[in-house]
Amino acid sequence: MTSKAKRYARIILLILSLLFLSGCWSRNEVEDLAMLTGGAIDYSFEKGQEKYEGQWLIISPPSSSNSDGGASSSKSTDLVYKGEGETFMESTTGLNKQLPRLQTSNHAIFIIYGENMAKEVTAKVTENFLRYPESRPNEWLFVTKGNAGLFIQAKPTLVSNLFKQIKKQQEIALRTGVSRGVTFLEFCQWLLSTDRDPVLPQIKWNDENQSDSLHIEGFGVFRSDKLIGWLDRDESTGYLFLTQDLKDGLMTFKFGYGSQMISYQVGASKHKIKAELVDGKPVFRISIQTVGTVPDNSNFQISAKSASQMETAAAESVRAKALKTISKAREYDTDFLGLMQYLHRHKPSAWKEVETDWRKAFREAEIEVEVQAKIVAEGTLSQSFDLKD
Amino acid sequence: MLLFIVMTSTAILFIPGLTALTAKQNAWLVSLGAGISSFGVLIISTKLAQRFPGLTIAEYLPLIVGKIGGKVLAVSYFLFFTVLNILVVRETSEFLTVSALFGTPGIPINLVFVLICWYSAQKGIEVIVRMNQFILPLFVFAYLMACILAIPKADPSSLLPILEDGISPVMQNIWIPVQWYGEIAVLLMLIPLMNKPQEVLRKASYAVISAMLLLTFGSLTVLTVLGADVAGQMIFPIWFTAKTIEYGNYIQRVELLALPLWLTGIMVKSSLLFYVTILAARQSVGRKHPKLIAASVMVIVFSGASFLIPNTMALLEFLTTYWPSVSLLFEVVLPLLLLAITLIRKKKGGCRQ
Repeated sequence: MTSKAKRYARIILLILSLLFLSGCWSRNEVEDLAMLTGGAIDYSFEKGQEKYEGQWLIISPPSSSNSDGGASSSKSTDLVYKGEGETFMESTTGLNKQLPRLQTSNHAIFIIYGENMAKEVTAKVTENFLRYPESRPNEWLFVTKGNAGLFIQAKPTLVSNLFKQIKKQQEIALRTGVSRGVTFLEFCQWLLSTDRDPVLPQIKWNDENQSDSLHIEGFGVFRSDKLIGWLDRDESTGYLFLTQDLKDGLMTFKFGYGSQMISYQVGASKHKIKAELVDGKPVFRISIQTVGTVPDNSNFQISAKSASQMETAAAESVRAKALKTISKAREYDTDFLGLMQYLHRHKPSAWKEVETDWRKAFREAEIEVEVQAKIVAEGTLSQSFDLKD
Repeated sequence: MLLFIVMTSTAILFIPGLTALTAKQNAWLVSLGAGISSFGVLIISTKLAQRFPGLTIAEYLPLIVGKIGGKVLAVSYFLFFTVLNILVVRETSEFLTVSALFGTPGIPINLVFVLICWYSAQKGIEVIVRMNQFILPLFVFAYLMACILAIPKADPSSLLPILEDGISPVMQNIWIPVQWYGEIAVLLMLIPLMNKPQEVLRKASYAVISAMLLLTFGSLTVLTVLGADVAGQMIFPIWFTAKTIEYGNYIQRVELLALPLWLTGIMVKSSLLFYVTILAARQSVGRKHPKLIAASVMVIVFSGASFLIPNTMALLEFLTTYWPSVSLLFEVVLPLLLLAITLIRKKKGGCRQ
């Protein structure tokens, strides 16, 4: 080749490279995407036919013709779309038929599992999510009684989008001790582990007749991959105390002191588990330490001496909730408390003995709970109201 | 430095997942152990090379085992490097299609990748090394960033119990990561090109040690963040680990920033493999048509990467069941045999400088 021909070839190559400047092979402009921010999946099995029903929230794009000026408008920008199918994937892709934009679940924040789905096909759907390259490990998972689809239509309170509400509300739920958010990754870890059962926070309507706002309270308990029961509010609090170290808490425990009811507000707690094997049976000693205040003392002067009496009474009220949770765990025969996992990790030789039938070992396990509650303050007053006769 | 990137760039994608599947929470010990045992590979290949200064393995093979046997072995080494390169290219396109470019078929990715790497290989070893000098800090930075930022999500207790079933599952699994560490066997071709071949053992040991530390750190991060059970299910756990990084609403979805840096690291590796393959081909097959040989190597690698392996499942099966024994044969067994032969027959050769 002559040098001239070479030069031409180079120029042509340069021009050809312009073709690639338009973008990648499978590029998608943001304007062509429909962002799914959350979803609810229901499942039914009728007449030998499986049916998955997914309802998904799509964030509606700010339209240029919006005269309110976009950001200042307070109305929700969520749109709900529904997809059905015999397989889970069919139900999600079915969604796209209704949209002029390509759906993407890259920005999904939460997913709600319907009761039926959680009872029948949790493992299937979860694996499907994990396989899907767009899934994120930090999505929040929830479970609900009955159908999940309706929750998607709930109106967000105080914020503009439902996903914002749910994202914040699970933090609040942990602080108030009624539930906590479980990420997709965490759920997968529990689901796949050989020694622990998963739980998912429960999403509820604010009142029974399905008003339009929701809250997060309680847990749905799984045995392996099947939803088998629920924890109520007290049991959920017990669960949190037994499995986590809490801080920034706002949990209130009421207990009787003398003739009156007093509340004890827990700010922080720590838990410690000790496990050993006695005569082939695991023995767990869980000690919980809480620190809190007594802001509500019913016109009752607390002295240093009575404070220590109060502490024992407060500890008892915390312990009662923890015990309730443990008896629920025994009733459902699932170890969502992670006790056997603790045994596995910290006493591997003991685990070896019970490994083959660890559920039986958990049923037979002795679980003792010991609570130390500390009262560190009584609010801003030093004297209780001393009222005239 | 070059060796370091050769070992870590693809290993970090696959090792945590493959080892966590079988060794569970002790997978990090596996990559540590494999790193230590890969010193064996290093020592064998340098000792061998030092007996034949100035010659590559394709050149001194005929000196050791005779003309015909030597040619056959040299050609098989050429094939080994080719297949290794095919695997690297294919691993990359698999990784890209599940991570960032879903929807893009593998063929264009392979084509672009092969073209770039082949081009830089054509420009000679110095270009590759200079490229590496620039890319390595970025690669290490991206890698460490992905790992360190994920640490707040880590749960150290998921590493417990250490050595639950004794040391044997760890030992049994060591051969899986050893194939990646063993890629240091490219030294067999590279030593004559170094300007100070005497220092190769020391320099390469630095590479092995740093690769070992980095890979072990990566395995530890993956295991503590994802847990052994989840990590074992994944093809690319490190990618999923990088996805967990989230600080408030600001620092999140950083995995795409780390991706191009990883990619360039793999590119250096593939360029080097191209260079080695072409060199081996020239020295074993013939010196007559260097351009033809180089072009055919490119075509072979591209078509092999695109069409030989039908899908991801086949790639993973190949990587875990067949490839380890093949690569161990070429990386450890054959050099060891050759070294034994030379020691027994007291052969030496090459041009002393």
